Amino acid sequence: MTAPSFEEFLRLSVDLTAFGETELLGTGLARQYLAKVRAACGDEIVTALLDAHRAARTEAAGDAGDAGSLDGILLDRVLLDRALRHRIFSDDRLGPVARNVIKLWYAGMWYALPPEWTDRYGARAAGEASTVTAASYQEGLLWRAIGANPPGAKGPGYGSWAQPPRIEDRYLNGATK
Amino acid sequence: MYAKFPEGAAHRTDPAAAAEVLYDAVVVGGGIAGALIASRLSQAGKRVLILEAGPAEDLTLRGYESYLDRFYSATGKDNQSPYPAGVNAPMPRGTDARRISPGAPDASAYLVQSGPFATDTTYTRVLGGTTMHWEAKTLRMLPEDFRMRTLYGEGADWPLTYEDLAPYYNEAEREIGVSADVADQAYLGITFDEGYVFPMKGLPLSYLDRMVATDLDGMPVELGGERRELRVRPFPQGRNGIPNPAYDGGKGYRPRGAVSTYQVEVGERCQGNNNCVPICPVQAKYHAGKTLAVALQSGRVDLVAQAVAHKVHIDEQTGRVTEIEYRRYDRPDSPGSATMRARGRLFVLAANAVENPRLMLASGLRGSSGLMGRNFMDHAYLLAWALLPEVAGTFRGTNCTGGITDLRGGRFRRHQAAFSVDIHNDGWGWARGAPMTDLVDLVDAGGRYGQSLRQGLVDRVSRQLQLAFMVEVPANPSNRITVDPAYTDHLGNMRPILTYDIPDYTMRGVAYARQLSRRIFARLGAEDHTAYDPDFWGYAVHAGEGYEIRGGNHLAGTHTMGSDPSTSVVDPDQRSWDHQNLYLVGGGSMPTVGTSNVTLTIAALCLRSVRAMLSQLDAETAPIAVEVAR
Amino acid sequence: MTASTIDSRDDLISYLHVAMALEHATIPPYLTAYYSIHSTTNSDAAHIIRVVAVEEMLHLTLVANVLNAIGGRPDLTRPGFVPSYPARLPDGEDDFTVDLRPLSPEAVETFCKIERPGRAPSADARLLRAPDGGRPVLAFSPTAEGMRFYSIGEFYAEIIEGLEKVAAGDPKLFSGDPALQVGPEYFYSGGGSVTVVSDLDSACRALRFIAAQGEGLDSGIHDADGELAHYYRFRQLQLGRYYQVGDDPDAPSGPPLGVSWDEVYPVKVSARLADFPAGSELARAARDFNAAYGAFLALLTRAFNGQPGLLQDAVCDMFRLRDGFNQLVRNPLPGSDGLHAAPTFEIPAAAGSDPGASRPAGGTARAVIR
Repeated sequence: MTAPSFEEFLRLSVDLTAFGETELLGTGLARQYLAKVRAACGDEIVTALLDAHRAARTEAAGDAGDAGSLDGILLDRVLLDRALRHRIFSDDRLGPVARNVIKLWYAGMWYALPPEWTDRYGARAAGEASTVTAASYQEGLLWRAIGANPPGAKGPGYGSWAQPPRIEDRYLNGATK
Repeated sequence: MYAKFPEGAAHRTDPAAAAEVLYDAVVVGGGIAGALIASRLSQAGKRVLILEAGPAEDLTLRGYESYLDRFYSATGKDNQSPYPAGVNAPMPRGTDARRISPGAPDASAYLVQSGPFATDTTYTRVLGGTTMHWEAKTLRMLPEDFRMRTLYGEGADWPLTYEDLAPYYNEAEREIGVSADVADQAYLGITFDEGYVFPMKGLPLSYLDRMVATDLDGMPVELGGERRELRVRPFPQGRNGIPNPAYDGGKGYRPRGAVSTYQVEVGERCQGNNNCVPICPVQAKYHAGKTLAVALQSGRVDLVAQAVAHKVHIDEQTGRVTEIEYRRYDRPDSPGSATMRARGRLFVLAANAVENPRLMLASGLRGSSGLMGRNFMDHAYLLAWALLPEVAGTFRGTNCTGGITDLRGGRFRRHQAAFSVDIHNDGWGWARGAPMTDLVDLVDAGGRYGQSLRQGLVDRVSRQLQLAFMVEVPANPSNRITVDPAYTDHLGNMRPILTYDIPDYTMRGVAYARQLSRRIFARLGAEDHTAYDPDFWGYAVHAGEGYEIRGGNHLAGTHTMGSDPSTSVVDPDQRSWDHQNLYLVGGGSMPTVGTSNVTLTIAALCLRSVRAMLSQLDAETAPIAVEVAR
Repeated sequence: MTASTIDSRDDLISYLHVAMALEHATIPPYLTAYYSIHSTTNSDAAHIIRVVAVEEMLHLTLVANVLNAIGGRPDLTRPGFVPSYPARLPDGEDDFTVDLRPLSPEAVETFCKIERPGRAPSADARLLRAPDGGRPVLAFSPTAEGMRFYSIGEFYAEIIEGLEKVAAGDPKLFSGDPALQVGPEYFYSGGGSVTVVSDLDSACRALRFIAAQGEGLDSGIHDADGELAHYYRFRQLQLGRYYQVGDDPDAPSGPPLGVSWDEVYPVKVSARLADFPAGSELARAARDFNAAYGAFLALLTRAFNGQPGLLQDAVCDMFRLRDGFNQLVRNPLPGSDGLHAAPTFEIPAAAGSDPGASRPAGGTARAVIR
């Protein structure tokens, strides 16, 4: 079996996180995160996850193209969302892993997979809850999503806290009671 | 040029050689109290030995970065997470707290808790002590806090007044480097000297504070027959801000530097890292290492670390302390220690309000008043949390920039406890582990990913408001620290046993705080999400309502000061009534905690006590020989 | 002795503008090396470079204070203020190239050259003819055409002598608005604090401080405050050991210091926007960075023109630039053999960059709503 593709992992991560490739690579941790997921879940499952993601994108692209040339093609967001839910998030095996990938990017931490998952698909030492590196906590996307810094790192500067948060307008405007 | 921590100072003093020296003072504890006393005594030419229970590591930039790395890498980021947990000088940890079943003490962690109320209170046993993890909020006590018994018939009176302590508050504010504006801090009777300004200008309120203030300011409250209007007020903070050019009669103030870089650095200005507790990554926050570095530069201060005081030895005839016996461990992470002793003309216990009485009691010194270890105090924290109607940009700034201080004092204190209220810039972190718990919930339960996750996080985290009511706990003799040979640590030291309950007086304040939080949230149009879990270790019921009560790490009251030896342990100079050459210093000396975080007052008390120590040293020549001869 | 190239207040103002550009020009190379370092590694090297970069900001502020004190108008937005890298700096008879490089022995060598003490062998040798054709040498004379200085130290010596000379003939030289001065409360970090300039004495003190902190001229490796000159701080990275007070320049005797040259992103040397794939997300990020840097310089310009409080916001800008910098250097630059991206410092021409526009009339502070 060939090793899971880094490029595909990155593309999956973009869809799961809503952060761009440049931003994800800008953490400096994308390769370590893929390595972490592989160590925690095994290559077979990671490959299956990437396959499912590719299939979901193909489905969302409709007749516009095949899986090999999806870059630059405008996907139907509604279709993609449904395909991801059907093929990944609701899948016993892939759903928890995908959710862990999201949490990994957002928190910089690998959370332990649920016991029903490890009962069925096996527990690995690398699957225990852990921070990936000292840097990974600092690169959590969660903080960027809320216009804040990870506590204890990337200080924004004296007095910056008196200003409104820098959160993209589309997320600000969506905030409703 | 900034004085850095002298290289090797944490391990160059040979304990055996030190045992042969009669120091002017032996200080137990390298936190803010011990550091201040050592620095001032050494400035006056005295020789000082500091015994520190924590690891014998110099305070270096590299060492500090190792604290940071430990913090970044920790999966749980509690207030001890940056600091090495040794087996020989164990630290209580907030995560140790367990619900206590009646009659069954919880001895699972270093601090034995016999209840009935469990607390998560902590202190840090490394050089610099708990100021390594403190938040550095530096409120002065109110003048009325010193006269609680006279004014309100509750708690105790101090043998000192606010005016007695005010000059030392000034000095403590210089030492710590406090950022605040007098105009914001003169309230409820707090006065400042004519023309006084703080060393640095006040830190700006956070956007969140301002959003709260927009609706809250002017909110009327009737309590104890008095009407007042609430407002959001900035807190004084022990961290580097903008120096006030008017300080010290126009001389200005130069912020204190980072502990030690080979390139001289004058210390960072606060960057808003939102991590005062447990560790400021740029040392903008004061910690006692900065004072220790200066003290050690004098050449008159020796430091033996990995030294846990074991017993205070007393001359039976004179009652004077002759030596302190300590266990010096070889390595922080493994057994192996030697018994050593330290001799001095004066002895200063500057461990903290748990370790000071623990050591005295373990030495069989209960005090002629029988009050050693009694009247333990802390603050009781009640949290209330809600979602604001608009995005407030929570999780930015220092941990806390502003709050409500209008109910720190007043006639209502005849009936119920006062409190100060923090607006937490770190959202529901303390109450509910935000924002990680929100993330996990949105992803695992909410099915969120991509844009809907980003949206969910903004909606749910950036609108968080958490109010922390810091409620005073009056002295009560049955709240106490004791020891028992049945509970010892690896070095054979008896562990502290805490017996603690929250008095009704405090619970009435808690209940009122909860009611007030409801009114505040209603006024702000905020959704109240507060819910107290009956299974929480600090769950307490009052008048049929249950509350989650947390500890404040504001340890106080276990060797209270007074003017009468029969009702106090130390005199107003923090000198033991029973042992002429022994000082027990720190929060333990405080007869009341009021509604101030204790460190500034501890610093002021210690600076004041130095005067007494110096005059005693100057008055007594060759004290041991003289006393023994008599 | 060569005749002075400074005869008037206008000459001094021209020189101080060159000085500001010169002080600034060292910052992008330092930052590129600093941010190329992998997160949480190379603590020694990172601290040394960072503190020097921060002190260059101090120098920039000091020159602005001198310029303001004699009635000039600091402007960090004028075309050419940020050089096109590689830039050239004097090194005695020769000049040398300053690139934007990742932390590497070459980068440290360049930093040493930037800060190296350089005293002309004779007064005649202070000014040299700049090479024809090539890129301009940053320490050039704005009044003697085609001439550049032997070293940065000589460049400042010329300005200090010029100040003394012009001040002797013009008692009103220091008639700038005191409200434009940046005081120590607005800026502190690193060694040294801001000098408020109001007369010849304070002006010379400010400029001598710059020269001494960089090169350690006249004062040995440590200055009176025990501070190590920049040149020697960088030498520590080459010699692998820290200096202690009293050390011989060639033999530091302090604790050892290690540099992990591998714990560094291999960023493309002096990358240009043209190196980025057209229309890519990455190219947009590089462009955004340059625009943000331009806005930062515009903010500094306002801070130096009557609103010193804005330096607080400029520091916040620097922290945001840090995050943008980090993002770029961690991204591989497609088509560059595994090299990584980096900011190019090609600053777009900004609109409304006239500092006079925000200068309050009559020297009274005017509230400017940002």
